[in-house]
Amino acid sequence: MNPDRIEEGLARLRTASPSPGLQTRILAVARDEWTRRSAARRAFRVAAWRWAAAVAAVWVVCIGVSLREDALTSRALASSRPAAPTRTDGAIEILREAGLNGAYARLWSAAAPDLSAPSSWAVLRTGIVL
Amino acid sequence: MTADAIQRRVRDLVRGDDPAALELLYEGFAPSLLAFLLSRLRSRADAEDALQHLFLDLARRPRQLLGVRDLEPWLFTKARNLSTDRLRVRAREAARVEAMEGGALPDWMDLAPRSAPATADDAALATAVDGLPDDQREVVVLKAFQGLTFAEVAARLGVSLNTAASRWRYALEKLRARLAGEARHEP
Repeated sequence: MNPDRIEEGLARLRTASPSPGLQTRILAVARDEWTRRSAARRAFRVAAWRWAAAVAAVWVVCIGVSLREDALTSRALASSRPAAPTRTDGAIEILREAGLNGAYARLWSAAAPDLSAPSSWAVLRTGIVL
Repeated sequence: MTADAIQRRVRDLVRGDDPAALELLYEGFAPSLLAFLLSRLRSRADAEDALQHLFLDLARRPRQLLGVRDLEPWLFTKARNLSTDRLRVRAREAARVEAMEGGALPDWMDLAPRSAPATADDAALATAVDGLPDDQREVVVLKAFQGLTFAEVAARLGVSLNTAASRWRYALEKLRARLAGEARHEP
């Protein structure tokens, strides 16, 4: 070939035509793969959501049980704790030590919380009359 | 449809998980990708396999298309990487080159349909093109076979306009030298 006519020669060449059915084959394979991967991704997402939902449900149950346990324990502790001594208890004890019987002790102890209150005096008066 | 329009449409389809994106990509880019792969691999079977591999990869991970700025050069880079991998593992290169020395047209090239049957000159030119360095052969295929402009060649190959033009010039010089050498050896 004349080296000066290379560009002319190149114009007569081209890359080989694709094999018959190449487009159909490539697109069919790629489309199948796309569909398969999409389905797999969807299945994975569903599985992940289910797993997350199951974990969340277990957490909710655990928290519920824990709260209930807390409440029950607190209630049990509150009911088993001895009541704090009141002023009345102290007064009854003192009166008992002074030799007054239970009835007097209760009487004085009822008046003791507020001796300035008229109702207290009324209670005392009634007790003495009795 | 322009490359930008194809890219926008492909993105929409990928977001909607619609495999029609593959058809659009094929119609838009497969002919020039195949030509590029043929120029790199110099084997029709290997080039078609590589093209199928490329589309399989797109089908496996379509969302990679969403992060691409310029689709066309990106596809050519993928094609280049695929062909480089293939060339690395291909061990039959020497045998194939030997098989072509009978003056036949290398199997990755055809004569344009309007042309007369292949002549010895055409076969010699095809063999000379086949023997060009990879980067120059790519430019010859895209410029002469595909009829692209230097700007289009540069965009696809990810090189500057000057580099594309230089490679074309060097390729023509090599072809001239080779054909002149053959002409001298002819009886």
